[in-house]
Amino acid sequence: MNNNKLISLVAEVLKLPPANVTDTLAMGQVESWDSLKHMELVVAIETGYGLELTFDEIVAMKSVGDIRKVLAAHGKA
Amino acid sequence: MNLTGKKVLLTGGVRGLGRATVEKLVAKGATVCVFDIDTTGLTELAQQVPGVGAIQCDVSSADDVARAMGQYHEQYRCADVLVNNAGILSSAPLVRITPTGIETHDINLWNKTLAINLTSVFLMTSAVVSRMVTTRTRGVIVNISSVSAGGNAGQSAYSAAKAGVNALTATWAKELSLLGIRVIAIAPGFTETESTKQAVSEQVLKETISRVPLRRLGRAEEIAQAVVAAVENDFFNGKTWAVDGGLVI
Ligand SMILES: NC(=O)c1ccc[n+]([C@@H]2O[C@H](COP(=O)([O-])OP(=O)(O)OC[C@H]3O[C@@H](n4cnc5c(N)ncnc54)[C@H](O)[C@@H]3O)[C@@H](O)[C@H]2O)c1
Repeated sequence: MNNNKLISLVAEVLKLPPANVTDTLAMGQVESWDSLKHMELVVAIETGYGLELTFDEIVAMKSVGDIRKVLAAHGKA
Repeated sequence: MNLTGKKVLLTGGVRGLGRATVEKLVAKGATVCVFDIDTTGLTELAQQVPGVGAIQCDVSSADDVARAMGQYHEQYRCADVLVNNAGILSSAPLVRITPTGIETHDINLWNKTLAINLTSVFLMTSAVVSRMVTTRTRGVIVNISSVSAGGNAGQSAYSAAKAGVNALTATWAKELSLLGIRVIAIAPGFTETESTKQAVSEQVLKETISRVPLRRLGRAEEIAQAVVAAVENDFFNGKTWAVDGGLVI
């Protein structure tokens, strides 16, 4: 359920088909995931999961798998 | 944004519009710190407006901004509001016909005007916004532009610098709004300050006033009031607000 939520959230922000969103998908790997889009992703995650990320967490979120780890630390995975 | 208890960093607050803005912000309960190049003026300001922080800084110098920002962050941690106000008025046409031929706009004056009015805004904002981002502070950047940004005959460098300030305001609003950081600008028209009186002749002032629908110069406290109102209004973003008595309509 939560897995689907994260995938659809990332797919929507990065304008990718959900099937292309895997844990290994990383920033810079697709054209749409640049530093400006990264901030959009951060805001979508904060709004979607009702949390506030620290700067270190934002920097650590380099791939979908990394985002999942950060969410787990917040008890959201 | 409610300014009570908010930390405001303002450049060029010793004199003129900056000074009037410092007083308005203090009256609103903000914790204000001023960066200015005028060391004597800073000492006087700190004595005259108790509680105001004063750090000497030439905002056109990258090294000086880095040093002063280090000092500021140590003392205040992170600004909630930055007001990029420091600036100089410079007037020179592109070319001037003289009895001996043609003179072109002095390159040193061009560089100096761009450095103090535009590069300073870039230097200060990058330093403050970096800290806002790392501390997740939802703040406001206020740039003091000018109606001259629309292009004022005899003010190539000044007009270009202020047009650049307007462009940065829009660009940064697009980049930073997602992080909760608003970027706005106030563009004063001709305002009654010492620097206006020194820089503009009586004749030109008279002629300017005749073009202002309200038939007068602005007052420093009216510009300060606009800065406060623009910061307080959370839906005002990315735009330049002309406070000019209707000069540019
Ligand atoms: N007064 C006007 O009619 C008018 C109109 C439109 C826009 N503006 C803009 O408003 C701002 C303030 O103008 P003002 O009329 O109050 O000017 P001012 O000359 O009265 O005050 C400028 C302040 O900036 C400081 N300063 C100058 N160079 C600096 C530097 N390199 N580093 C740090 N501080 C520096 C000065 O010491 C002074 O305290 C400027 O950006 C100006 O372009 C003024």
